[in-house]
Amino acid sequence: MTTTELPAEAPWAAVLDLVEVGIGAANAHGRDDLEEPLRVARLRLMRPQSVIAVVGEFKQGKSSLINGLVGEELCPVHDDVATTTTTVLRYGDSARCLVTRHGADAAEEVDPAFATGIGLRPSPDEAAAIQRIELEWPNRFLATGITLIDTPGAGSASRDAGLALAFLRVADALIFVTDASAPLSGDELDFLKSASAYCPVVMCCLAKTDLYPHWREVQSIDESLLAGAGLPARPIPVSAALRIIALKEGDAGLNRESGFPELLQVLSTGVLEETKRLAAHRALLDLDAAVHQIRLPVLAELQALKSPDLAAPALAELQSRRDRVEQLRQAGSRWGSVLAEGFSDLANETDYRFRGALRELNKKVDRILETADLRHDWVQISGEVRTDMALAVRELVRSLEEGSADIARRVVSVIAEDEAEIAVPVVAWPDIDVSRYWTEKEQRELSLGAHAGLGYASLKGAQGGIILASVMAGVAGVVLSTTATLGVGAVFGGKQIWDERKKKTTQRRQQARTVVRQFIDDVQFDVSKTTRDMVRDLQRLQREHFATELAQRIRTQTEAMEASQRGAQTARENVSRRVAELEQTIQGTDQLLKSTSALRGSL
Amino acid sequence: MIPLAERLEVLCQTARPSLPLEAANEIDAALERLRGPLRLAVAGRVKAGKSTLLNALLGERLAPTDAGERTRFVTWYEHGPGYQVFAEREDGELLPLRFERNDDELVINESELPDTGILRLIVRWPTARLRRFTLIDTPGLGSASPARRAAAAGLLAAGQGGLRAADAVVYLMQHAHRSDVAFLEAFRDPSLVDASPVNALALLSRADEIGGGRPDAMESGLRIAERYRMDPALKGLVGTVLPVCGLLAESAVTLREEEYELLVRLSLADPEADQALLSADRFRSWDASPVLPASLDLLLDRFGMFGLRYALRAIAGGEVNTSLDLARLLLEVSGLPALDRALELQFGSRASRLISYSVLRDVTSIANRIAADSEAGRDLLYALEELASSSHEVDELRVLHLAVTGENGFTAQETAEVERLASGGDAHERLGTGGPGGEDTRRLAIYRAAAWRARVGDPLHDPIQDYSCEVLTRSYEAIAAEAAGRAST
Ligand SMILES: Nc1nc2c(ncn2[C@@H]2O[C@H](COP(=O)(O)OP(=O)(O)OP(=O)(O)O)[C@@H](O)[C@H]2O)c(=O)[nH]1
Ligand SMILES: Nc1nc2c(ncn2[C@@H]2O[C@H](COP(=O)(O)OP(=O)(O)OP(=O)(O)O)[C@@H](O)[C@H]2O)c(=O)[nH]1
Ligand SMILES: [Mg+2]
Ligand SMILES: [Mg+2]
Repeated sequence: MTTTELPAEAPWAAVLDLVEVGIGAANAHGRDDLEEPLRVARLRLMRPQSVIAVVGEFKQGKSSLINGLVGEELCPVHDDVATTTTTVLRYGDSARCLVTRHGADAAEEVDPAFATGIGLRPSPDEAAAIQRIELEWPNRFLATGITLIDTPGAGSASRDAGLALAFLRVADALIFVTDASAPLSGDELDFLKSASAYCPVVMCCLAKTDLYPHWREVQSIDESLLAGAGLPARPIPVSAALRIIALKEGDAGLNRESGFPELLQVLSTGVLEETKRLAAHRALLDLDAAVHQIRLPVLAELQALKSPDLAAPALAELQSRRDRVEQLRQAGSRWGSVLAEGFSDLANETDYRFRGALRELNKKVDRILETADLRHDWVQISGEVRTDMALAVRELVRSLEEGSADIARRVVSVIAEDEAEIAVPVVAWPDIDVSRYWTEKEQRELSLGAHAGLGYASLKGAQGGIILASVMAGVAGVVLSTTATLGVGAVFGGKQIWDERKKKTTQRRQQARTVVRQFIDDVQFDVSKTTRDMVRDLQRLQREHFATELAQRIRTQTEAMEASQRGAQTARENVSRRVAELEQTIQGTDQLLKSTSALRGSL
Repeated sequence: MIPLAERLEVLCQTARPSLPLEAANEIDAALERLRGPLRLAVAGRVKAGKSTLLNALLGERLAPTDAGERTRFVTWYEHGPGYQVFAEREDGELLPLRFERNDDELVINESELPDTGILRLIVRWPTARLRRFTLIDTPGLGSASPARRAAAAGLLAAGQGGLRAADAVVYLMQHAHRSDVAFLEAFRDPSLVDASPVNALALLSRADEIGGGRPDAMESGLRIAERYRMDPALKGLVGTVLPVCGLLAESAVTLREEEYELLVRLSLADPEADQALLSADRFRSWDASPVLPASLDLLLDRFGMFGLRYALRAIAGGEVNTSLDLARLLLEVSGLPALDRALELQFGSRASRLISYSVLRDVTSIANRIAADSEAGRDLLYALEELASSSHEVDELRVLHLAVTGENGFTAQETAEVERLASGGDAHERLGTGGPGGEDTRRLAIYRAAAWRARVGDPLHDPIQDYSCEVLTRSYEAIAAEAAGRAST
């Protein structure tokens, strides 16, 4: 038995075959620059990246569920609160663990046991200082391209309320975990309702079915609660405990009873299919672009062969196109300034709006504190502050996402205006694998080369989610003091100490105000820094991307010129053979283009 | 010193004739409680295991339990000479309800009762344990159904049916959820007395499941409870946190010989039993089991996976040889005996004080309500406030609260001293000496009084600390005076 029972299916195989043909063609024409993106496309198809966040209230069995999926005990599991930090699990050829602390510029590599081993569990103070843990692991399930995010549970009394919201945009899918001890609570249902508004796929798992004799009853109650909330879904019953034994003993029957095969099936059809569809779509775009650029020199040579008398003007035309594209690459080109201005406006605008939101939050807190009885209301107030903060951060990331996509579109149209005759339009959006975005610097350089990443076509969805999750983990890590420091614990209402109480009430309010201000300041500092880095990197990536695209075009035009000259100089007796050869190549590429457009329709 | 209860009663009797009739009746009902046992509410989120635990405390299966949301109404289990069940409507009318005993379980015909308009159900039962505490079962908090959520919120409202009518609360939680803490905070009544470590206790319920049903699950529960005891979010709210497995406790106190026999037969099917105990589903569909399928269902419901594993192991290992042995073993592991001890320590020994205190609180809220329209009501309110601020028992409870919440900065040793002092037992118990002894008692009390008096007025004190020291000084002076009086007669 393997741990990856995810079916590998047919529809994408055809796309993969075409990409192979494209790689062959690029290679045959000596275009390594065109070959590279196709190789990336192939990798993306074979290992479509999807990010799945596992969320839910604390102690529901989230980490155990992840361990069940990967078939190894990678996440710490404990009877008492275990997961203290957002943990990103993804494939790596060797085991590696990166820890990012709050305020640190780079991640720090530590012994992988840090993330997995209970014995090395960080103390609460240490845990609070950690923003994110990333674990790379040579594991067959992860090798399918799935990135899993284990999250600290929502709802715990000593943790914040806002964090759960951070995952609303996470990933291609959420797995919401609730155990079979009781039907969904009001809190859980509320969470699911808002989650489903933000995440494309929300799956619900009913955990620990081995332990609860009445899980079927609970499942059917949950199902009707979900239906009532407009989220028709049947919670998938799973038992991580049985799964672990089944894998260890190779017991297929027990594995079925564990419910994991069904969960994997649902993951495969509900999540992987979609990312594969996207990957296939993207592969076809890349393929088209490559094929067009391969054709261009061939066409130029053909033309020169067929009408040698027109060779000179044709060459001049090719030369002037090449110059125009070359000019686009120079400093001071219009698209460059559109891009630079776009990002600087974007940075200012998002910052302005974020500050505005925080000002509102400050005012709101002041208003609440005027009348609040902090001995009773602090938990609620601090929860509200965190929630509002989460919403503000989410808004910030959303506007960054949309803003930078918008800039890319503008750049494309500016390039098109300035050089309407570039035979092959530039592709709109660079690849950014943001799940890698958060790893340490040098690795970032490595994987963020215009085509090296394995990401998606936009910052939406998965990437935005991870960014948001990380920023929010940062927010969560900023200390908002709890009841204890505010001296909750009511004083009995004896008359003698009445005045003393009044004085204390005022003191507490003052203290609370300071605590909240400090919290908002800290978050603002953290978020501003992250935002600045993000904007700067996004800008650099876009610039590099468009530069690479332009370099390809220049090379294509140069080769077309050479081909045209070659055609004009071909000895008369060789012409017809060469024409036949080239026409065959064109037919081949025609065929390829026809196939891509047919396949695109069927996706 | 005249006890608070007596002073309260005299005060109300005097005021009674000039009060509006309705309020007077309400006050009578409240005073009636001074003669009853402590009223202990069992509260918690939906499916925390409240009804199951209540049955264990009762020693009988009177409260209905189920995997889906079950308890619809606040239900009072009171001691009575015979067997009676009523529904009390909001207008005060009592509707007798039909009920039957089915397989040792009490089944009340409540399905026809409307969801609204019913204040509470009352079950009067001649169970010895109800002499000690009146137990109040409550619907779960935090339900997904809006109607039930609203109803549960209503629980916190003052009045006869609500939780506020309780003198103390046992709060069940499976891990400390934010809403658990919110509830405990809301339970505090800012008007006079606050729910506090003095009158609230938390349980880590269904602790066998928190430990994943493993054989060492309850030990794991102990460690987690220990951590929660120190958790700042809970510290000022509850006296202690204990793990319990209500299901095993209930089964242990109601264990039947047939059930024991069934377990013995299963324990003989040893190697197969291991496979069958892998999961609830496997156990239920154990084909070649030595007992009937219906018996498997029954055992599973009664003991749960943890209980079955535990019991079968104990029987197979020869640790237990009779149903009595088994009941004893399961009871011990369930954590119920520890809970019983904590209940006695925290509520039992200061029951009369807690009751007087909560009656004072309720009468005050009645007076508060009528004070706007009734001269007599205003006078009563004033007198009650006077009483509250001059009652030494109230003062002692306040200091106890201040000490256990850490608000007056007492050391653990000083806090223990306050706990002893506020227990309401005999003089020697309150002093913590071995036994009654007139002159020794007096001398020790004088000595302690002097020690506390010396601390009053310490320049580093805030008024709350001064107040605490003054109260303790007076407590010891009173004990000394009483001992002197006794010695001279
Ligand atoms: N019997 C049984 N116990 C389980 C199963 N899954 C989890 N548990 C137990 O449930 C408890 C919590 O499991 P975790 O996986 O740590 O849950 P979590 O949601 O990740 O918890 P936090 O990260 O602390 O919020 C542990 O005691 C596990 O042993 C299961 O399938 N069966
Ligand atoms: N394993 C185990 N199961 C328990 C325990 N306590 C209760 N249960 C089970 O949990 C379920 C709910 O128990 P109840 O006592 O009805 O819970 P409740 O809090 O009264 O529920 P509501 O009245 O609906 O809020 C039942 O199926 C019980 O058998 C326990 O300590 N261990
Ligand atoms: Mg976890
Ligand atoms: Mg109940």
